[in-house]
Amino acid sequence: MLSGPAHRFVNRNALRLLSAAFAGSLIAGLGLTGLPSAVADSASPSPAAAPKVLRIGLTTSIDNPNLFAVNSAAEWGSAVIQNDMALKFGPDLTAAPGLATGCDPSADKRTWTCHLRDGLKWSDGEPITSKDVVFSYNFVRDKQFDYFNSYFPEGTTFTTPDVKTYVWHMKDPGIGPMRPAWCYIVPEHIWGKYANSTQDQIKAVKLFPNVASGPFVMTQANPGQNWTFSRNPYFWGPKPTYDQVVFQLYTNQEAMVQALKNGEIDIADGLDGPLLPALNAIPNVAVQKVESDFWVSMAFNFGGQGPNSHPLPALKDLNVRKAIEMAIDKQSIVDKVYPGAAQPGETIVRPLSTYWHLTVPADKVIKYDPVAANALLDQSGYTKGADGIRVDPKTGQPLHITLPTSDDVNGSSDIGQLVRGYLKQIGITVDVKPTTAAKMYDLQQSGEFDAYIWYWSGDPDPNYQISVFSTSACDGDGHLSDGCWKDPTYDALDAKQRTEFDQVKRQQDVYAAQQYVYDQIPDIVLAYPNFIEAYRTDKVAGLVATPAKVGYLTTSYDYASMVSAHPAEQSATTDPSSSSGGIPVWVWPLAVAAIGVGVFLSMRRSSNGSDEFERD
Amino acid sequence: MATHVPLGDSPEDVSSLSPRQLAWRRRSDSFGRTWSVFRSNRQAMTGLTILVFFGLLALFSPLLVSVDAVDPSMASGPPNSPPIAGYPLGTDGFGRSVLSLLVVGSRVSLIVGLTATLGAVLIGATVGLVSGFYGGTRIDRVLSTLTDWFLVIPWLVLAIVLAAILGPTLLNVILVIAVTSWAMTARIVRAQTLSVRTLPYVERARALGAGDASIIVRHVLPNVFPVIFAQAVLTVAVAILSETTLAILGLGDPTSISWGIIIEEAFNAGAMANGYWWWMIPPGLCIIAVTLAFTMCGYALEEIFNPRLRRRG
Repeated sequence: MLSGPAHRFVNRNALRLLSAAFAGSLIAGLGLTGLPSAVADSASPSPAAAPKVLRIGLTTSIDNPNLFAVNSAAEWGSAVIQNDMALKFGPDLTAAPGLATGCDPSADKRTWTCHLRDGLKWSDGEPITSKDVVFSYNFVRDKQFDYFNSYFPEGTTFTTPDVKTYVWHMKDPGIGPMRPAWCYIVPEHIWGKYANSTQDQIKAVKLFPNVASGPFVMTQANPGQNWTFSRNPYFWGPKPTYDQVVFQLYTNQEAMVQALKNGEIDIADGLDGPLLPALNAIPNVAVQKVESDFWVSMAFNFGGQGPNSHPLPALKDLNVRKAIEMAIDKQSIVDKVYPGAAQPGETIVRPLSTYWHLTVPADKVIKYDPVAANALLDQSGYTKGADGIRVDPKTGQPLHITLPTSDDVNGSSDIGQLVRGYLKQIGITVDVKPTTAAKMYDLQQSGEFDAYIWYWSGDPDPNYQISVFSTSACDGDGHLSDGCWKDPTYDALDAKQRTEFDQVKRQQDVYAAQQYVYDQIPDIVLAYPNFIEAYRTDKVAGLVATPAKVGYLTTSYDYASMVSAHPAEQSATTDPSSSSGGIPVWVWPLAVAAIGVGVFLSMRRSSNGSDEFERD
Repeated sequence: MATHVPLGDSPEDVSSLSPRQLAWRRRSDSFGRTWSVFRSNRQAMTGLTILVFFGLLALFSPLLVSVDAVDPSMASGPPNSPPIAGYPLGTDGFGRSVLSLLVVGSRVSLIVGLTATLGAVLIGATVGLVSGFYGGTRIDRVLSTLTDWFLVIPWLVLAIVLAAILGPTLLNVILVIAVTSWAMTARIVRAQTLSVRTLPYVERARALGAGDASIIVRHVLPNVFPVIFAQAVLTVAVAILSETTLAILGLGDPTSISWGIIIEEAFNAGAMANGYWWWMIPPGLCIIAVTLAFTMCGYALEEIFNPRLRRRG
């Protein structure tokens, strides 16, 4: 269900398969708590001659350093730190000057002329020209690198009047390069050689050192362990303070938090909410709660996807959907499933897109009120049967919902169980069915569900997210619509925001579309979970978030933070090894003893005194 | 059932008993002998006591803990609380009592363990009996190769693949464990069958015109049954551990409550880093206790049924 480079989502299950079973993690935990801090502190900067290194811990896989093979969040981070977009993401994730300073539209908005900065050079010293930009755009389109090429409207062509100018020619009026196009500019003199290669061949290319335009380029890669990026001497922006940035992989988040505590890394990226108490217990660690760039929802099915799609007809009744939303305690879901690291959900544009996200006005908010929900269902004629379950007056069917939950969302089955409890209070029964993401996709395509719990993570620009609720998003195989909700009023709102060129006016259209979905409830947006980043305040300073204040301190959308970061002034000495958080010390001997006794007893095939067992 | 006079030394005249009565008498005597040996084994009795305790706990868990007490949406306790009054083993992230979860979880853990074992033993015993009875023939070669194949492939990998394909429901977990843990039983039963089928009475039955199926079921099976039983008790321990492993790897049914699922949820909630020991350690100890108990009983039974083990060392 994800599209575009906004793929930040981490499937912890997959990681856990690699990391540890109970016993394994118990032993790992023992080893880590016992690690002397002296060993760990060897990484801290001391002599003047030593290069300044910024160490970032990650838990998503780092396998292929090739830009065109990016997949995991960490690999996207590596793409961001090394490469430039023509126009990049600014502090509110709208277009800001990158390699290009800006673009001018023609009167009919079909042609956009963009200008590159002066004196741009690749990390190997070759000049960056408009030809490189156009080459990059055509390359990703020819080779169908979908995550990069979705930003170019069908039929768009590019020209280069001179080395500093490139032009978009579009069939229809549009905002073109101003979205901005999330496609990295690569050197034609390197990648031009692969013009006739297949996608797989291109993904297999290894470049050391890499040639790129960003502040750091990869100079070393130990797949599955760490990637090292060194400062690009030809970077066009301000000179970074750090000489190197290292991405260090950890197999689980607990180990990474321990490494942060011991000073092996300066920043821990991509943490989940449950580790907040442990992080808060470590001295000299600051926590950045990143505003959510995805949302978890309960999507209703309206049917019509195929011959096997028979969703509960009562769900087409807005009053039923509204009663369900009123019966669900979103605040409680957030508190229990994502403690301290999520906000209750509202609208379909993620909060991280700060410019476009609508906060629903107080008078239009559907509040948690199970009593009113029951009353609404009573008024609408859904009377309770003898078993306390409501019955649809039109079909005579009891209100029973099959609710698959997808395992690629942390806490989805927990949410499912909470929803089951809430809906029981209003006489609706729920059958929670935990499902793998792959099966979830099949269900979404075939429409064999009443409602499901899944997530969406759109682009910084709301266009894509808004379009997936339109009628056309329910057409054919691979359709994107959650439950094939079809509403002509909404389609009109979608079309309006798509063709509005004035950003301020478009913001209002985007707001209107969000409000309409909120009122009509094809999906109940349940929660906006945060990502957590943590860093050592005694080691690193000068980090900036993208988008401003609420966004990522590391390299999810822009490398600005890596350029401005600098080593912190060494202040009062601290004792990072002091025991805080973690399992109390006395528990370990107990657990070990219990396991030891178990192993000992089961290994011991009692043979002493065997005579007394002798049978006749 | 009243008397337990060993049949061979009996001064009592048994000639008046029908063959059926004789068989029952023999069985009850044999059970009595086994029980008296078992009873004198301290380790076995410890195991049995633990099992009886957890068995009763699982059986009466609906009376001890109401469904609402473990419904996440009804939980009223403070989340992630260490042991306090009213919550002797603390609470989980929803604010449910960990003690209640343990009691409810005992049911699923034991049911999964026992059902999966039943499946594994059914498959293993059938394959072992058939393969052993037709030892040396093509059927035996095929079945033995199949058994060997299941013995050598790493069970965890197979289980993970199967569980991932089938999806996380309780029934699938049972199926996966049964399918991945029958091979050892088959191997042992085959070996025992190979020796039993050469005994004179099998030949005698054949001479009297008994068919293969009837010989396997009526003459071979009763003789290998003790081995199957001992092996089954040992398999339960493995099955419960397997369920835990799958649950911790996120392949269990997250809407059910088993000890493994409790540990998995604790792990997801960062219990290791956050120090929620009351949430992780108790289910772990329960699993250790029950698997240990099954293992102790199983080894004791193995010793009783296989005298060669006893004479060793």
